[in-house]
Amino acid sequence: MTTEALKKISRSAHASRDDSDPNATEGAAIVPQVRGGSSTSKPPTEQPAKQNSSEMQSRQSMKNKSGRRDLLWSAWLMGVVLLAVIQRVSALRTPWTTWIEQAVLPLVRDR
Amino acid sequence: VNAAVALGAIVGTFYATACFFAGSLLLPGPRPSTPASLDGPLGIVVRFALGHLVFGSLWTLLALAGAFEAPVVATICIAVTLSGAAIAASSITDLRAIGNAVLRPRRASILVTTFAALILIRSLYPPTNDDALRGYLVTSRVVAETHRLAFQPFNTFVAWPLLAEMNTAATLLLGNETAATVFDAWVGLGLLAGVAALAEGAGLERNGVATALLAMVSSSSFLGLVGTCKVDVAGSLYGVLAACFALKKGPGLISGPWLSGLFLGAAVAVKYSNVFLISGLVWIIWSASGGIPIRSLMSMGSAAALSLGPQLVKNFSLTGNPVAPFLGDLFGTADLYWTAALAGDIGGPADLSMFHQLIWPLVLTFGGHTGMLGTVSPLLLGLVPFVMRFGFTDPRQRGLALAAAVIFGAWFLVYPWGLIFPRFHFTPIAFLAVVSGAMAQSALRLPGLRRVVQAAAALCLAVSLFDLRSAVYGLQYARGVLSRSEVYARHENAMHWYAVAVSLNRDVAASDRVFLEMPYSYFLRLDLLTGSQTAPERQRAAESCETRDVVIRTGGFRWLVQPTKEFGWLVAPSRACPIPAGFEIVSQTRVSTLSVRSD
Repeated sequence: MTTEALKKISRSAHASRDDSDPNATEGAAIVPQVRGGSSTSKPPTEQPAKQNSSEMQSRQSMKNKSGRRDLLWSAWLMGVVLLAVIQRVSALRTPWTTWIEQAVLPLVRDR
Repeated sequence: VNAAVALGAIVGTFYATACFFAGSLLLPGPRPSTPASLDGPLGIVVRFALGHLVFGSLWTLLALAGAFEAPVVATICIAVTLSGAAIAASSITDLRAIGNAVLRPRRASILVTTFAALILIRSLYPPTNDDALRGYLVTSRVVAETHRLAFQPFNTFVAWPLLAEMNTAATLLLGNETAATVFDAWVGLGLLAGVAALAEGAGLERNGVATALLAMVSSSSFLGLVGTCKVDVAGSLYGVLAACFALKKGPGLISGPWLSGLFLGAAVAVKYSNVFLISGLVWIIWSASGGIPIRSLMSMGSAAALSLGPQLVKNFSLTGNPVAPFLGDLFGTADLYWTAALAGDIGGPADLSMFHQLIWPLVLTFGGHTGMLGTVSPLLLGLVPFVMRFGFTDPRQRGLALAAAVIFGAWFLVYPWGLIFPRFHFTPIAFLAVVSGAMAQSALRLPGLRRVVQAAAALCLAVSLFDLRSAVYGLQYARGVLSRSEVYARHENAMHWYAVAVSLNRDVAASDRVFLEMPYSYFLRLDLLTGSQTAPERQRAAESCETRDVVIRTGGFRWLVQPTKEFGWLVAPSRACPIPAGFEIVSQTRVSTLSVRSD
């Protein structure tokens, strides 16, 4: 692999991190390949199947962990927003029907 | 259609345009001495705010000189508008660029237009904010009707800085109260444009900017105050712009820190509590420069003094104390009745426990304390903690988040009770709205979080639109379906005082004096206000019931309005005093007693 190609991959890894931190794991996945590779190293297809399987497992495990973490964050955000919405709606003094009757109908119906 | 309302809407909008063109005269377009990025939303809103600042300061000095006359103000506004319109060609190009950038996606176009239209239509409704009716609007109305700015013994709010009130006074002078509320709505829209500019300045993309704006409009405390003539919104407009320029570095006289200082001084000239912003802005500048930026701070300080100056002159001229009601011991105003009254005004609520201080973010989001006047958006509490998940993608976002923390920290150290009132903190809340936008932007890139963030945003959008349903009442008032008395008859707090004012306005002869101790004096006839107790009479009457009776007897007061309920800023010993001899009760409400001399 040429120096130019290495720089290109490295830049793409950094750009991926800069765009959003969440993609940092993907960027990190690229970096070891770059570090491990050189113009004289063996192509990835020749790496032992055992190592590939271990990497896939590790990646899957990270994905699961990240998924669980995102589930918690989702629950937090929706919990806060739903609670606020419920509070806002329950604080209304008039039922919907009365509101429509009092606020909307007079608009289209002159006294 | 109610002709006065239509005229008010036109005058309020014209005055907003005049502010923009006044700012355009000062900042005609990009030049070497201005920061390079004075375009887009920032270019528009900075010109509007500069015009607001210059007009407010000019009207203050004109009114102090007793020359606040309609022909003078109208001529200045028209001349500025005509000459500014000619020079502002580059700004008009900016406007078109913003239109293209913001309104290009059809959905965004519909949403922005809908929100702006609803906010403006809602502002056609008469002012109903309690503090505006008790103080802010009283100051403006009396200045507009007397054409001068003098001490108002019946209105202690005149001792506060009056930059926003003087702009309101100009709209009242040229138009009417609808002009004032419509102009205030334009100021609110200006603040939203300022938040968009701040978000762009902090490196946010369109999704992030939209979320930051949504975090603002889904804060019921913010949306509820826009168009009410309460000054907090104008103060925050300046605060947000000060932050925009604190994030910038630029050469020349009008550099980032200089403009930041100018807007910081203006924020304090609107409301003293904005002085807490200093800590956050200094933090932003300090963290960006990596050392103690003496030159930047000096530049900032000199600009702040320039914009705050007219208000200090005003207070020195009116009270002898440039920073009244503070430093009363130094300037000999400590024992005056209005100092005590304003001290009551800035006193804290009794029910803020240590527990509430500990769960303060929850109180701000879900709380219902007296005087909170709404809550902040759940998007802030929901999204800001995502910082632990994503971190900051831009150091400017980190700067804003830490600046908000520093400002809240300063409040906690000095006035912890003030932390629960969202309106005191619209500026740091705007900083956190930008942080929420940044977090939403990061979350939207993750498939696992995208749908949830979109759903949360949709819910908040729905709630905000629902909160703006009162635009219907604005429309009803404009169409004449709803009368002014009907508006105030359904106002829970003002209704009793409105009834008292209507009765006084109708029954009191021009030659009669009224001993007034009532809030909501906005509703009263001007001659009743100016003919009420003088400052020395109020000073003496505040001592005891006996001295009050002496003042009533010797002052020739025929009518007496006496509160039966405590009001924070109103030192009213007569609340606990009996009706003076020779007076008989005319009417009584839940909050007041109105009596008249029986001779």
